Amino acid sequence: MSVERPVHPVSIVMIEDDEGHARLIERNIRRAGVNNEIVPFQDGTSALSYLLGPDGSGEASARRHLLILLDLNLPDMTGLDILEKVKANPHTRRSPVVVLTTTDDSREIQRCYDLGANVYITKPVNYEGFANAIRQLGLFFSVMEVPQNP
Amino acid sequence: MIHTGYNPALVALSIGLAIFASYSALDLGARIRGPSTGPRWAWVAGSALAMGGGIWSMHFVGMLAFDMGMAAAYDLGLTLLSLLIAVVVTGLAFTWVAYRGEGLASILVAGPLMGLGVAAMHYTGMAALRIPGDLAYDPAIVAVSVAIAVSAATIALWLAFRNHGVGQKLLAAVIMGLAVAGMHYTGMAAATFTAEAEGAPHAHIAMLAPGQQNLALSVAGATFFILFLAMLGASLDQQRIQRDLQASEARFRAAVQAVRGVLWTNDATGRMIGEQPGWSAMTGQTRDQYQGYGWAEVVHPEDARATLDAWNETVRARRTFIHEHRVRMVDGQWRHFAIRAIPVLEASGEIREWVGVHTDITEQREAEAELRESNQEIQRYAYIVSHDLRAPLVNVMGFTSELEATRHEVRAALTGHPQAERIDTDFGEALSFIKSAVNRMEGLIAAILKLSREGRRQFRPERLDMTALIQHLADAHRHQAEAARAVVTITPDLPSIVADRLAIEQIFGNLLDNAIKYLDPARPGQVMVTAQSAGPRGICFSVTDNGRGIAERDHARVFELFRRSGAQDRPGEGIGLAHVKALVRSFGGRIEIRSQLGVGTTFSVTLPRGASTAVDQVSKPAPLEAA
Repeated sequence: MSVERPVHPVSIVMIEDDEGHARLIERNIRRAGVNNEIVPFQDGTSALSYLLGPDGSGEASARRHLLILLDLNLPDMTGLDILEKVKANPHTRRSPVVVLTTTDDSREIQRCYDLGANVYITKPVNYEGFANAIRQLGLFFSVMEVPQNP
Repeated sequence: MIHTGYNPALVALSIGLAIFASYSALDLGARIRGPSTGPRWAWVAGSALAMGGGIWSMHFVGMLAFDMGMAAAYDLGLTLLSLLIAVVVTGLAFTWVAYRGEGLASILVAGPLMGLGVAAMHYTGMAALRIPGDLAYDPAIVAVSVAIAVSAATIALWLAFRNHGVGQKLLAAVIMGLAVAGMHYTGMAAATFTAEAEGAPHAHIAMLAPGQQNLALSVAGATFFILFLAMLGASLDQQRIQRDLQASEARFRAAVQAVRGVLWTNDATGRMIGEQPGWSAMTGQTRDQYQGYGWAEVVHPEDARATLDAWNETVRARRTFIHEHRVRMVDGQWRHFAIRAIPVLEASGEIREWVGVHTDITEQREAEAELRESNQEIQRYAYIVSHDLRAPLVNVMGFTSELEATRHEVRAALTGHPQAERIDTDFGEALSFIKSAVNRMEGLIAAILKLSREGRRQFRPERLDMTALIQHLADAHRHQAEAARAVVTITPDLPSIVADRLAIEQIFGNLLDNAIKYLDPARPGQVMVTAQSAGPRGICFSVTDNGRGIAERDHARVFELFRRSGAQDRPGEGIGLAHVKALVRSFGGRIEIRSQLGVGTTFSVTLPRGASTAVDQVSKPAPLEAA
């Protein structure tokens, strides 16, 4: 999409504590032909500080085009905390959030959608499924419109 | 018409006789249905003899006290008949009470019967009178005399069987005695004696010939002696009852100490009254503090409201009280108690008091809480472990696949190299071992995760038609069954149970699956599902096959996670039975195996009929023993 719409460079914020998973996700997104910048974070605190700014106001994300890939199991907080803060902040709430996690607990899934998650994907354990899912996600990203944050 | 008169001393003696006889008879009569030794008929006979004999001697002494102004003689046959009538009719009345109970309806039959017996005796006795003159009756006064006998006898019987105090029994005896004597003297008033024409009237003062007086005294004396013997028998019996009562009180006290509980009593309206030594020692409350509903002060504030509501409801409904709450001990500590109280009933069916026991179950509750906690911990642990194990596994799997891609690149790069073939083979072998190990591990983790999820799932109990449910499962396995040439037979009309549908489907689905999977190819397979009652609350379902069987040393092992038995020639992970066992146990049921190698296997699952919630047991209130 960066090719078609260079005016709005969309950044993919990837919050994933497992380095291996992060690398595998990145590789497969690239394989789908997505060349956007990927900003990786391994813990919730640093991710929130990037998204909402050090002051937590969210000003930092104003006018950014962000797409957030979120894992729920983080060392310092759960992904739900981040989801809640992102969707409650006027500057970040328009950013699409894709929850990508190992949990397939139905209550957890409902919770995420209730909090405003846009997509919930369970990481398939077998690698073929995993790689396939990420590649399709990449294809989905390439046709997706990401609005600018207010 | 001739003048008649009474000897006042003998009249008094006759009335005394009647009262004394009534007391003996009613005392003996009350033992008919009491806890006395000996057969009932013996007490009935004793009562009848005392009553009948008493009535008869009262009558006889009364007749001797009567001076009818002419020579009188008695027909022996009719006199004896009158005694017999008195004994037999009162005997019938006592028998009626003995076998029909002491209810009002029964007394309304026995009382009039006894009254009529008294009257029949009197008028038969009068008929035995041989006098040189005529005897005529005024029918109205006769009727009054019978009415007196009937009503007084009924009241006396009613009193005698209602009350057990000596005073009340005495009152009943006086009424009964007056019934007999009153009937007699009223009956006498109904009679008019007319001397025969030339019969010379003698002096009419109430003077008895010495012979007549002696006869009266002998009759009275003999009667008193008989009644005295009856009273002696009754008092010996009373002593024995007293001893039994003391023994049972001692046993009761010992039981109270033995039950590791605290005993208390409340009055009929549910208020604590009187001395409660056990309660005082346990809670430190004084009598003033626990009286009425004061005991609720030391019940834990969170439990007090519910306890009072449950208690008042129980007192209203006259049920057995079963409850649990925490109580503050004298040292300030809270302890957990199970309470059970029953109403003690009077013979009349009214509640006399409540007797309850507080049993300390603190240790039990703590152990249960600990067990529950450790169970939850294991489940959490299993969940976390399986989750966290999954994450690195994705990496191992992912990068192995990446290596696979790299392997092709390496092979291409090494084209022409002498060792190219060997390197590629080594590469491939290593990768395939890693992949198969990861696949295996993934299966195990999935299994642990599934088990831990099952443990956390909330059951939704519903009534299940077991025949339909198992038929449905069998239909789902039809393909495998046909492939194994197996027939699945389900007993029609399996009893229904209340349980979680999914869990029951998983239990029997696994058992059917195993039965079909491990059939012996050497013979046509037969799988049978049957059920039988297991105690009042359970049903035992059995899944029986004629398959290859399980060796005895593996009977316990097959229920363990990841363990399998026999030839490993069928696909499976060794999860099914572990899962089944966990489910059965979470229902409060049990599973057993009977199997013989080469013959077949039966898995028996015993499940509660209903949802396994505690059912409020309602037992009958304990009636107070008549003492």
